[in-house]
Amino acid sequence: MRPSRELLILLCATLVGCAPDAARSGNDRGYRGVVIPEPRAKPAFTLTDTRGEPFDFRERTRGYLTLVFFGYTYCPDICPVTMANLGAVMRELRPSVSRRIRVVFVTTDPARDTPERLGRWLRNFHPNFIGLTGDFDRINEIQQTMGLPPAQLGVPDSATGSYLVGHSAYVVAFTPDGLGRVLYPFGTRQVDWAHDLPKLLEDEWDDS
Amino acid sequence: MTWWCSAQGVAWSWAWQAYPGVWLMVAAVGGGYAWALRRLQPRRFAGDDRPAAKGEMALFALGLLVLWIAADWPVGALAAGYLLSVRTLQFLLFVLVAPPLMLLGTPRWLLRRLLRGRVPFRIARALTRPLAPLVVYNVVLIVAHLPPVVDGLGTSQLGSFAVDLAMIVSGFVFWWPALGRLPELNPMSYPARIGYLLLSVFVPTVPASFFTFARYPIYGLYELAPRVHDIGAVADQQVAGLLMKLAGGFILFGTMSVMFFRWHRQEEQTEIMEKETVT
Repeated sequence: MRPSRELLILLCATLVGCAPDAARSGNDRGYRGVVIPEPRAKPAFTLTDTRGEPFDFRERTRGYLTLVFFGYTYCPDICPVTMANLGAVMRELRPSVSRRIRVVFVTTDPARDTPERLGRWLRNFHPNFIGLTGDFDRINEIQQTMGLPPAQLGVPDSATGSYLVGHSAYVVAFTPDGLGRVLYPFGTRQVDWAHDLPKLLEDEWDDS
Repeated sequence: MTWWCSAQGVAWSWAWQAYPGVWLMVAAVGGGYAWALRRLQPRRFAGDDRPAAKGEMALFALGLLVLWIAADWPVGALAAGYLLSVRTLQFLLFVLVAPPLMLLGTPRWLLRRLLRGRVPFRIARALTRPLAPLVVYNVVLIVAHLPPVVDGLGTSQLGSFAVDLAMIVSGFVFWWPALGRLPELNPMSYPARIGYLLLSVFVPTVPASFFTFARYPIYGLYELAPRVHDIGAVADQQVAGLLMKLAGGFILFGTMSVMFFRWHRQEEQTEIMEKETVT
């Protein structure tokens, strides 16, 4: 059974407002995002990119600061704002910094987000953003391995057939050593990204 | 229930939305004006008092229309929660366009009637001197553009209403000495009025410069608002800066030019009268 629109809105609000357990801890490293106390390994999975080709996530992002966001192109608010802010900051960063960053957008609405549509939508924000699609359940599994709640499809509107998708509003930052270290909730501003992204590349992490 | 435009955080839609608070304000001001013309207009006029001319009524109606457009959907809604450029346009309409039209559209006898008490008259006289209005205008301008005010008050209807009202009131206060409607309050000479308007050009350049040259969006409210037609937050901010500087400057310098020519005409008339007296 699909949840109602109200439930989805509630879910979105909850996901935006409440961090996962890991994210509730303090941040003593000077990041504007929420440092994960026990960093998570970058998951290994292969999905389809915007050219319709397989994309081995761990392999293709190895050695890069990788920002992962789960959303959908029909999203009315959170996804376009998040991607627009990331795109704006990527254009402002020094090339020596921005070329060491990969931004990966994984759709939570693979039924509507075809590779072509995903590519077209992402190019509105930045030409180098990576878009991935695949099986809905597989994408939810991937989200859970990253500590994020699974997406939920809303009830289609009886007139238009369109529907909302409840999804996490966090961007997960994996440092070049392949560990997910910082979470960024919706509300992270461009100035925060501009502060944190170079720092994520420069900082040395002592995981002992 | 929504009664005044504020940031809602929902995707922008061109579907019309009602804001009864705005209608109430427009109805109260417009109704009050019509009632005053009908009920309070004296039978005999003394001094420079005249019955309300059609031109005056048209100016007042135009000013009220501008106020309504600026406060109601879609301008008010876009300004409150989506686009800083529209908020800047709204600011210009609230402060620099509607108040002078409404002041010029109020007949002198009505102004005198409104200022009949001792306290209102004293306030009006104090506001005819340039210092207090300049301070009020500039303080409201700066405070209304502080990020904690925009981000903090913009999300509540009451907060949004308070900021809008402060802007409108500051507009009336600002234009009162510049228009010098009542001779008994010893209004400034035309050169002094031009100087007053010139002084008021400088402070708006502060937010305008920040808007135009900031690398990143200044206000979280507009940066994190759902996008309207894919307009980026920084591009929107730059348009806001240009609007504040160019449109605001155009209005103020335009008014200064009109005052300059009035001053020139006044001087010519004085010269002609002096010559006639001599001959």
